[in-house]
Amino acid sequence: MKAKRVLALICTLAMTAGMCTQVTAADATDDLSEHVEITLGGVNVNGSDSNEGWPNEVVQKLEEKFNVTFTVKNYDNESLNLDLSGGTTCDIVQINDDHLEGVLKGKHAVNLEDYKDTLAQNIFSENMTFRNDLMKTYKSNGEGVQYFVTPRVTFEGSKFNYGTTLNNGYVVRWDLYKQIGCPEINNDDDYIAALKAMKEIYPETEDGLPTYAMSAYNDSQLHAYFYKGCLAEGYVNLEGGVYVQNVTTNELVPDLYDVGVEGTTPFWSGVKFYNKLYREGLLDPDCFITKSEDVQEKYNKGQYIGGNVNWYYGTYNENQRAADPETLKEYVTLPEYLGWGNEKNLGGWFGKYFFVSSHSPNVERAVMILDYLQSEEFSRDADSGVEGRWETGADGKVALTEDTIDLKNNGSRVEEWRKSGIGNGILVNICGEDYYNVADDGGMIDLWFEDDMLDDSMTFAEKDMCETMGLTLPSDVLKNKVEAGTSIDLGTCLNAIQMGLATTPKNITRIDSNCEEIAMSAIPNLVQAESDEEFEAAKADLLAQLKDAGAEESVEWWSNAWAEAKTTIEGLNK
Amino acid sequence: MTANRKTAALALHKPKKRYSLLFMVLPFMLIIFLFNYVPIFGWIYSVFDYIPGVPILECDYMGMDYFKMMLKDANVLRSLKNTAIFAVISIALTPLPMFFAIFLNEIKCGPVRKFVQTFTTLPNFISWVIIFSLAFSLFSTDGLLTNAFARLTGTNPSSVLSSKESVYWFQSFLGQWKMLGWNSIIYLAAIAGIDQQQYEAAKVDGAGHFRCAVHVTLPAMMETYVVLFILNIGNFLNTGYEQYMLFKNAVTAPTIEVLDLYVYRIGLENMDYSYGVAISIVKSIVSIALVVLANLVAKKIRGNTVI
Amino acid sequence: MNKKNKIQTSASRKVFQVFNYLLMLGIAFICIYPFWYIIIYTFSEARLADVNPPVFLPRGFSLSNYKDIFELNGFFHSLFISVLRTVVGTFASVLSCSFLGYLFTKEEMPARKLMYRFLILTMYVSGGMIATYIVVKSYGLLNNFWVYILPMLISAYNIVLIKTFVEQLPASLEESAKLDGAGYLTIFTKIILPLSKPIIATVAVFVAVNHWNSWFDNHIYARGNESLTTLQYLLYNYLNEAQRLADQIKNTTNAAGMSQISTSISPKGVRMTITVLASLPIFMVYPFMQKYFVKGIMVGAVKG
Repeated sequence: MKAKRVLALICTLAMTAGMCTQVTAADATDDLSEHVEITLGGVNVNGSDSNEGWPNEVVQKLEEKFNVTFTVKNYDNESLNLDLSGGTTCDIVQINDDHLEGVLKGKHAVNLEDYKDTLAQNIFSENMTFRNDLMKTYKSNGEGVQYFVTPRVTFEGSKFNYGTTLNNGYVVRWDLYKQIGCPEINNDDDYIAALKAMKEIYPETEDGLPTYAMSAYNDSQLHAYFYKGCLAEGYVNLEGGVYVQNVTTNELVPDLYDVGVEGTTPFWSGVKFYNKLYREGLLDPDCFITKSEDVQEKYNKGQYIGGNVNWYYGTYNENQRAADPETLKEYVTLPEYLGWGNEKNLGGWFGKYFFVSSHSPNVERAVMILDYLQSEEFSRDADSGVEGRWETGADGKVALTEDTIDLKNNGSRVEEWRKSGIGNGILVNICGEDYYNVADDGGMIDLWFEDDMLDDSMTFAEKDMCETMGLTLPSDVLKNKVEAGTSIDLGTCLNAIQMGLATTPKNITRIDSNCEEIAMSAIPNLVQAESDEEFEAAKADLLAQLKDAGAEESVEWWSNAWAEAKTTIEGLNK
Repeated sequence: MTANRKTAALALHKPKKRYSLLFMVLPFMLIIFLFNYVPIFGWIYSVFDYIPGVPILECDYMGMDYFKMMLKDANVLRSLKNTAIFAVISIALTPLPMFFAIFLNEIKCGPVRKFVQTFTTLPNFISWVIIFSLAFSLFSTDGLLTNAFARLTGTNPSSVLSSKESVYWFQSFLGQWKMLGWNSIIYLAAIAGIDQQQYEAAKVDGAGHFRCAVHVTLPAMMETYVVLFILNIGNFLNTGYEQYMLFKNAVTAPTIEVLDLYVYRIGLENMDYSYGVAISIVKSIVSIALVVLANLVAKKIRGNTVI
Repeated sequence: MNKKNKIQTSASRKVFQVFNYLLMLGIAFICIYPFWYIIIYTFSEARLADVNPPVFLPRGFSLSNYKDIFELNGFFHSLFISVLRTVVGTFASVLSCSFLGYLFTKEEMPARKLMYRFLILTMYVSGGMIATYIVVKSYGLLNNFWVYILPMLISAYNIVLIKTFVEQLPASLEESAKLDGAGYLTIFTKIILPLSKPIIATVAVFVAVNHWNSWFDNHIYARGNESLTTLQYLLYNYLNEAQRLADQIKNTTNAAGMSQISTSISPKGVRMTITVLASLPIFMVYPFMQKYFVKGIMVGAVKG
């Protein structure tokens, strides 16, 4: 105990620099006479320094409105840790779950409720009630006040559609898929049969390189495996994929350690799928080495026939179109059981929490800015441009102007497009409302998503696909399947439950990341199993290792935490 | 007073102490103290469950828990084993830059020598990320070298990147390739510092090129080599993490994860700042112990300490 | 040595020479080619290089990798800062380290071993990033140019190199100077420095390259002051942005988010361009320094 006291003394001496003061807001004013600088620092946000066209029209409007210079900076884990330790954070900060505890316990955030009726009326608007309740209940260290806001909150009555094309599912090369007669794909086995048929007619690329069905992107840990399974089985993953949430029942399921779980969990479904590919000789032999960049390179060379996500084939498609505008050689995505659409982020985007720093020399102005970022006006600006880029037509409908549409598609006006700030990579990540929310004027927040805008952007191959398969839009395959009840979307998924989870204790975090690591190393044996017996043996081996690593302790904690969060959140949502 | 007498007594055997020297050194010592020693107060974080942003006294006091945890952590043991293997290989290869310098020095054509000297330092500037992507295009299953090798031996192409067994020598090879030219600079400087009279004397004695290299060049570099060797021994556990992080994949993971990579991982993924500090404290202690030991051995062998 | 022997020696010498040339050029080749590949990649048209990486010459020809970098906001200012810190930092550090290295060879210094070990220890202990940050902050060095110079001023490793080198120098030189009544400073500048050119050139290369390529101190100590942004940090941010854009496409689970993002810059091209820029000082400084590497430092010459 004596040792502790000595330590305490040393600490107090050494830590003088790291202290922070709490600013209270007794009399909030909206005095804008002084020009100040407001900086927003965010994890995984791009900086405005190198953002082309910054300050763009949308930002200029904000700056004039509040008499500020507004800049955005990137934080990584390191720099955020340092700024928190030294009390030197930006005026507005966006963090992820990792730093919640530090911000709350270290009192780095301003209580937004002090400005409820004055400067923060957008944040506390009626539509945001559920989100605010979440923040107050779960992200306040038990104090019951609101420090944080999330971006992109989905409101009651938002519209939705599946977009023009799908982003996740069974990827096929359209020209090959057409050649084998567009066989219907309803499950993994159908898909593998199709891949096999496509590979038969396309065993190597035009340059003589061997072709494969697909590979995994190993720089995202287990993602390639469990995400494939999520789509096939109807789950969404919690970060890291050690646990997954059932989309229809909203139950939590341990993904890796599936002892006692009914049915197939996403991880095991995905691994099984890769194993089948392996046994059919369709899997890239470099499957365990390839990282995103390598995967993309091989797509660029046309070496893959399939895939699960649309992240890597964009360049290939572009290159083919550049060579021949009427090419059919393009990747398109067909739906799996779960279509990743109609997502309702009632609590806003997960893992992005904005707060006003108590270290800011201009707390009030920062609150005003954060409030404005949350507003309908700013959200519309960020997605669709400032008023004038869109207008209310004679029929009373709000729509983008012809000029704006030309601006987006006309390569020679790219400077002007950037200057307009429409869809700016920074802004779309910090505004308050969901793309699909309906604004007061009756138009969606993102006017590009209005139904009549969708078919404008189809490529020749996509049009051919619609013609061949009798569709209006490529995404209609999913729409039809959902209507027929053979596929589901995210509409029933209450992802806000994830926000209600208690902070994971460190020992559980350690167990989980250890389990992730163990599972990663087990993948080669699983995927390369030559027979079902071998696969089961490898699985039993992995499960035993997970158990030794404490998987059962983790499962117990998570099940309890989930049950608790689920009950309360479902209560809040009613 | 005692101190004075003691120095006076010593002065009988050793040169007289010059206190003016002390005044010249002290300002530099102060800078070292301010920038290298004051921050060591950060070791305090290892006995708390430190959360960045929270005043340390409000964090939970953990005592020696993290140090105990380290002993039980299977990952630490495994990564220690890997670290040791990599370190032993790299220590065994420490003479390479010296021999490279000697051989390079035997190139009598000035422009060629300068050319080789300059351009062999280039890999030092290539970051590991790029090395990985270059290695991927050469050594993946479809890679150029893998295929050439398979065709040569008539075997099926199999990638060295996804081979658990080849990790140690392959990674060491890459490390040598990256650092060889750069590390040889120091030996080239040592060669340049050799008094030409020594060569002339050796030649008068009838020594050829080879004997000159063995009897003049090599001994002149040994001093530098031994000093660097001992400093390297202290870095036994400091392998860095970048290389291993990039070449780590599902297959190589068990053999490639070194201690530094593990520490990086727990800091990043688990936000275990304090645990990371605890491990780095132990690493420092091990390093110092190793250097002291090496220094003692050197004293036994050579009669004087190096450090 | 009889004649036969001599012929044999020269024959084996020739064999050795041929072998040695082959070996050195072979090593040089495996070092140069990857770098050449990087260079031609940066001059290739991104679209072509992506599909079909270049082998000996660029695929197509494009300067856009470099143009994009030159057009970054504040490129020239950050270049200036980088050059400034490299010049000031190298000069200050080389001078301090060589002076200290020399002083540590003086046995008449009180507590010499103790202080030398105090210095060596810094190679193996560190307080961790957070503590270092708090300390630097309390010195008032945050967002201050000197934060680039002071922490890197004294490098134990370089001092060891210099000390070892100086110890190898014949002691007789110094003794004779001392008899002439020269002080430490005079001996250092008049005798030690000229004789130690090879090692000082070496250390200068090390320090200069280190300064030129360091971005981390900028990242943690001088983020808040844009006028102190160094070139490497500017590039680091640029690369990260390219990387994040690529990642964002992956991480946006929201279907709608994706259509907004285009992949205009490829992280790979940026990374390779940065490599070329990072190696610039070695081309500019090293050949210049190499003239101090030439053999034939004649101790006698300094004597006279």
